[in-house]
Amino acid sequence: MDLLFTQLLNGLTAGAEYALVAAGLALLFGILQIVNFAHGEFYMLAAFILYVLLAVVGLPYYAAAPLTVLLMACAGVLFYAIVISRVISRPWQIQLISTLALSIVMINLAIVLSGPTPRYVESPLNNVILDLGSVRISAQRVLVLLGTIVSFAALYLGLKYTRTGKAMRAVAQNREAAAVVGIGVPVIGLVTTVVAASFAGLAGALIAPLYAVGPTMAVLVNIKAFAAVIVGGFGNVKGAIVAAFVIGLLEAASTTLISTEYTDAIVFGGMILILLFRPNGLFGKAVRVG
Amino acid sequence: MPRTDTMLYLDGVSVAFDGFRAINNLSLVLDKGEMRAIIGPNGAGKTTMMDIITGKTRPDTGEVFFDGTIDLTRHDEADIAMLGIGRKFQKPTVFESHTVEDNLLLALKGKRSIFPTLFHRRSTLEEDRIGEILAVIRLEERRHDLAENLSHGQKQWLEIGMLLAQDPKLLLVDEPVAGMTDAETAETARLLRDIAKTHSVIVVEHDMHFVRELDVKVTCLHEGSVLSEGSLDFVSADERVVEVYLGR
Repeated sequence: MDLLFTQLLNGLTAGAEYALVAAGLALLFGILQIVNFAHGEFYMLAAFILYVLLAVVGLPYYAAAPLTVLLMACAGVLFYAIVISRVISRPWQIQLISTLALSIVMINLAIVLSGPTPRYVESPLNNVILDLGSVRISAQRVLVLLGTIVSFAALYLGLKYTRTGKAMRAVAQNREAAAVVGIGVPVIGLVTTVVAASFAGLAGALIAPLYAVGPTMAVLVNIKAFAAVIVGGFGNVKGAIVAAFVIGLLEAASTTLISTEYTDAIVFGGMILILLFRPNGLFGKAVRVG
Repeated sequence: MPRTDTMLYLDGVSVAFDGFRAINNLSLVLDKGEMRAIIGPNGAGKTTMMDIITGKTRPDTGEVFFDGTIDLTRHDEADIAMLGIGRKFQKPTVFESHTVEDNLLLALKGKRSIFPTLFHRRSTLEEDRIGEILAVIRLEERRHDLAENLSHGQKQWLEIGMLLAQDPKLLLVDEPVAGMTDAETAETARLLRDIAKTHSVIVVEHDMHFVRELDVKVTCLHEGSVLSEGSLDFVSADERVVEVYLGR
């Protein structure tokens, strides 16, 4: 029973990691119709920023973590100005190649700058162990779960109740109509990109202390985040988040009940199964073409 | 009449697509505060005329002036919208998963740069304006309902409201009553007459019963130019209009 509960917590932590990355992906696709293949690398960049702020600059974790998110928001502004704004109205093939190229460049730059050796990020919360009955969990994992819940609640409230959020949803529904009624579509594009990058930043800031930081740390995370976006219903943020947690829990369950070797096969097999019965994803709507 | 007193002034406007003259030496004058109905068969150039006014299509020749002195041929679509020309397309394009009120809020005229967008706080002035528009478009009772739950006619009214929210001087309304019930059609005529008290309006419509209810000057287009102009009775009695459009 204790093992099951421990694995449940591990599954939720992994789910939170995938969800934070998937939420950004879903926002970018849902609002701007852009598939960002470099999004996972933003998570990797955030982890490296956190490492530099802690190990090189010498900031304490509680200062370095929010600063990482802030710097990733700035990276989002740059990403919008250099890439998104230039490819947003171009064919999807150009968008795909541009973001894929950026992903490769970021990974290779990280290899050149940091070397192949994995780095470890120290967080004081890693050493704080909480006793939940007979189950022990690090405070860092609790922070991951709390941070994820709070950030998603903020996203939900922001999209539902603020004028900017309403405008983002309007652009997602009909970009041309939004422009016609005077919504500043480029501004909404910038805001969306910044929010997506900030979520990747939050993922890096919260989760990097739990794992090794390296140039290819985000490759598998990115694939699983994409899986979550597809299973959740392309562009549906809520669906992507739910699917990400399902993937995390499925991983944990298969690790416990079957074997670590089969984890990915089971997860992606489950994804195929869902798509066979729900081709538009769990929360996706059928779209008539032609 | 001097051009400076007009809301819209088109003179000798022509535009061709692949050798086909969609607009052929078209001249049309709309006074300030006037509502005009535009009728004519398919391919007469009604949509192209609207495209020219809104900057979507550039004319090959001719003059297009707005509000007396503004040369529309020198401005792009976004500029023209900002200058005060609002267009409602045939198919309603409201934001279905937003409330009626939110649709109007998003359409309200205001600064669209980064800081006003991010740090907007709704003012009493905006509240009042939304209330006024809701009264005009007959949707006060549906204020908090999602747009997807409105009837087709009500969606058309909401879109007209979204146009009004941008505070245009001239409204271009394309086939507003297509697909509406008889009751909605009659109400739309009243609604547009109310709007015409404070705005200049051009209505493109095929429904002659609706055009009669508007009770305004009518321009009939054919092959890209004005075939006949005057009251509906005058235009309907014109042999050429009967021949090419109304049928015998």
